[in-house]
Amino acid sequence: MSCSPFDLRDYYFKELAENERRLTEVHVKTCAHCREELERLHGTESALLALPDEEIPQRIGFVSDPVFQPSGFRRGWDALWGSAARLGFVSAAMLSAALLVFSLTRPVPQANAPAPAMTQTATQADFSKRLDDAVSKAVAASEARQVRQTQELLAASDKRHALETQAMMVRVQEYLEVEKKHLNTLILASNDAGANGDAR
Amino acid sequence: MNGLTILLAFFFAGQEAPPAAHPRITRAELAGVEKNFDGRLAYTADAFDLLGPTRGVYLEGYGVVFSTELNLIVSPNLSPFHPAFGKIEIARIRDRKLQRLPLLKQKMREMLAASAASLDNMPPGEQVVLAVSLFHYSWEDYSGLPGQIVMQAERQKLLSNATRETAIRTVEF
Repeated sequence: MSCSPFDLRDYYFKELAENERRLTEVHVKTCAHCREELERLHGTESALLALPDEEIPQRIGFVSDPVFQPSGFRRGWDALWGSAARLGFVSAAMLSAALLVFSLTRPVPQANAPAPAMTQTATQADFSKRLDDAVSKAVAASEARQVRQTQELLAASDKRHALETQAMMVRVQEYLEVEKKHLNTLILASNDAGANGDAR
Repeated sequence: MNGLTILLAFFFAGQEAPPAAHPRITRAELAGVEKNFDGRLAYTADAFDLLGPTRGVYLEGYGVVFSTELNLIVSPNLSPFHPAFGKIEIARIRDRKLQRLPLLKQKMREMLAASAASLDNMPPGEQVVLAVSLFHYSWEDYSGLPGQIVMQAERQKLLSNATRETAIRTVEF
């Protein structure tokens, strides 16, 4: 805030009376703050004076002038996007046109060869017969395979059983021989004991 | 057992030996030694399963040969309810036999020394031979176990404590 008795801007632009101007001058010489304010005003004026002068436009244009009006295409485009009904109509028209073009340019498909003349009943009977034959063959093959596997298993089992029996017989024979030797040893020992007793 | 004795008898019978009308060793002396052997093998606390009595034969000019057959342990019996042994049982039987083998060899050495001492009429330069056949069942694992052990030494060396152990020659089949 300025402490000057009169407005410093009036003083700067020389709009004060003579006595007011003198009082302001005396105050400015003693007040550093007001003196600085005067310097800023001077700097602002200098900056404004440094800007070039521009011509004031001679004519003002309005939006309603014809020169600013859009072209016909632009107006139609804007009108199209501004209305959903119009946009829908145009889309339907484009789709119809695309369908028409596609139907006209589509290649003609080759005619298929005529199917053999076969009645439905005959086809079903033939299919049933072939199915029955295939099932019969599969069942026969499976049964034959099972019979073969059973025979192989039986043969292996018989062979293993025969080997086990043979091994068992060997073991039994060994035990019999050992027991026979034990018995002979006991008999000899008994005979010796009897002979010694007789001798005594 | 006796087959070995007969074989040895035939073998040594073919050798040239001085004919003698009366053998130095009598049958009674051999029978005493045989019984002593049987007692040591079969009728002690750590007995073996004796499968035949010991048989001895004197070969004039060579020495005496004793042979016997035994099983190192009394093998467990198979039965219809236990027709075969598993691997663990077979391995256990083999281990038990291996543990008993050093005892048999020690007893054989003692028997050689005892026979040398008891056969007074035998010339000191002649041999004392002891052959023991070891029985194994066919289903046993007898790998590492001998089928026969033969120990042989000169009688004179067997009578001396200093030379006894080094004089004994052991062969295992």
